[in-house]
Amino acid sequence: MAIIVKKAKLNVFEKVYIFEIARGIVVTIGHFCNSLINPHRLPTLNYPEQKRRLLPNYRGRLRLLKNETGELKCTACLLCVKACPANCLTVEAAPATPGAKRTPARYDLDVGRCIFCGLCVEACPFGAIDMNSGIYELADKDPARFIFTKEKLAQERGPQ
Amino acid sequence: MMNSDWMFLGTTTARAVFMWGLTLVFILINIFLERKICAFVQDRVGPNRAHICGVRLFGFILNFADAVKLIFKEDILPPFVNKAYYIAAPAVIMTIALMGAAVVPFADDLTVGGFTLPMQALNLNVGFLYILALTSLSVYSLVLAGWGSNSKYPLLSAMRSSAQMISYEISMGLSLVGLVMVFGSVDLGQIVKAQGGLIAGVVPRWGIVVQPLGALLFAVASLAELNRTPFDLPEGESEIIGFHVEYSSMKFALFFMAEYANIFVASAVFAALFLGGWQIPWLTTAAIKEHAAPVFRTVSIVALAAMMAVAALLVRFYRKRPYQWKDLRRIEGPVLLSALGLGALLAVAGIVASYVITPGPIMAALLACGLQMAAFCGKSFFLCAFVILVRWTLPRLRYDQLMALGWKIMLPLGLANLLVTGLVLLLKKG
Ligand code: SF4
Ligand code: SF4
Repeated sequence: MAIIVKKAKLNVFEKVYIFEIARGIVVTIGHFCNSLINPHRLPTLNYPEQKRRLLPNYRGRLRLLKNETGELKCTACLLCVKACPANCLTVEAAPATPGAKRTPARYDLDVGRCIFCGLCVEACPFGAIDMNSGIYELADKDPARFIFTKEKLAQERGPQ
Repeated sequence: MMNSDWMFLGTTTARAVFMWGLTLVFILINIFLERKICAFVQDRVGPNRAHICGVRLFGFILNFADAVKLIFKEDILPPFVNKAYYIAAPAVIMTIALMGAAVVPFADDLTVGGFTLPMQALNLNVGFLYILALTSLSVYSLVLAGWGSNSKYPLLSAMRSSAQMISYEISMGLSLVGLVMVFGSVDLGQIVKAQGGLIAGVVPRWGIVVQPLGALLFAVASLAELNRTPFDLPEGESEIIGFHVEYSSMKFALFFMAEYANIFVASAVFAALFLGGWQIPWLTTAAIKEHAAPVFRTVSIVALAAMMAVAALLVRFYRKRPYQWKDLRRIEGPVLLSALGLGALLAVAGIVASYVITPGPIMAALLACGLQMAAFCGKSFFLCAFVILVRWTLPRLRYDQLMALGWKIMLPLGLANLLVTGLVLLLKKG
């Protein structure tokens, strides 16, 4: 059904347009002067120099967590590898030593493939990984540097 | 050749080069203003990255980065275009844009040692008819670009713009007839000189005071001739497609530079016709020459105050800024402030000099000339800023609204203005 939009009734003053245009220009001049005199109050963030405060649930780059004794919590159970829809994790277990906790010999993340979905974190039964790292500046010119190894992933850095 | 002939040749060249250079400089200034005003009106920061040795001049340096980018971009010549027309169009529009400012006077006649120099690159007695002729010519370049591109959208756009420009040319011409009747001349130099007087001893006899409706009509018509918002249908960058879609690299840049050069020309012409050109209100050339020292002192004091104000703003900004630059830009503050300090020192020296030195006639004449040039540039600058501000205030007209405004409103108003002006002049004569 067609909707008939009622046109607003303009009074003579508004029909001449010139005065309304002048009013519009006063508004823009106001914004101009305000920005000119108070540039520090503009909402723009000057990105590399100023950084945004991240929320606690912000998903940054994956990170491997450590337990109190400083070892990786990961037991190389490969559940995260199975959960990952983008196939970006490569985990290999170290040869088992009787009595000791199993550890990964290799834990590689290909950030170029990661879609930051967080399924790996949910899949891990040991709470060994999280995405709370607050690391998001991952752009690089060399694709080889998108592969993050175990050592790099264990870097500590919490939400800012 | 005689000595005076050489002098004539030299000074004419100098004046022509001055006006030409001024147009080119104003292209840069206008692009800068466009970016910064647009940003500030929309509560954004605007260009603040490009710098030379840390100095960004509030984003002005971005122009040079832009120029480098445009020059080194690939220049594509589409295979389907009509090569001659396609290449000619940007050259034609830029040539016309650079010629426009020639008839605008930028200072009063300079008399040095019995030799009088009109401060106007081209002392034509046809005056602003020359400018109207140039505006008509610039339609050709749009049509050339549209036709030469051999593609639908540019052609449609060229048709749109030629219809628009031809319609508004009539209003533009009509709005000026009233002015000619009042001042009795078409020569811009004469018109500006005629605006020097005062009405009732208070209000300067500027064109905008004696012909307010004419000024309004001329302003609207020249916005339309410039293809600026609210009349930027020829370009229509955001939804309808403009006549330069097939252009790339420097050819495209020429269209843009021509647009900004035309803004300056239109502002200069408007300033000359309606805002008294180089006239400084309440201060005639004779008055400046007579009281050279106090005038110079006042100018120095004003300059000093202005520099202090800018410095205060800068310091405030640098102190309140919640972050630090991590590259060379961090030395910008000290550099700019010391430059301002140097300027302030010069101004103080000027104030002292105005007490010590008694200026001779040549110095007084040069002072008057310089002040008037500054007044002219200042007026043009503010008008350019206004044209740009209007772009970020008003939405674009629909095409039928554009035509209705041109033919049904501006044309009758222009004729009415003519009638009223004629009647008033007749009654005044008695
Ligand atoms: S966040 Fe998603 S895509 Fe990235 S590693 Fe974890 S499961 Fe794979
Ligand atoms: S991170 Fe968690 S799920 Fe993945 S291998 Fe280690 S323990 Fe298993």
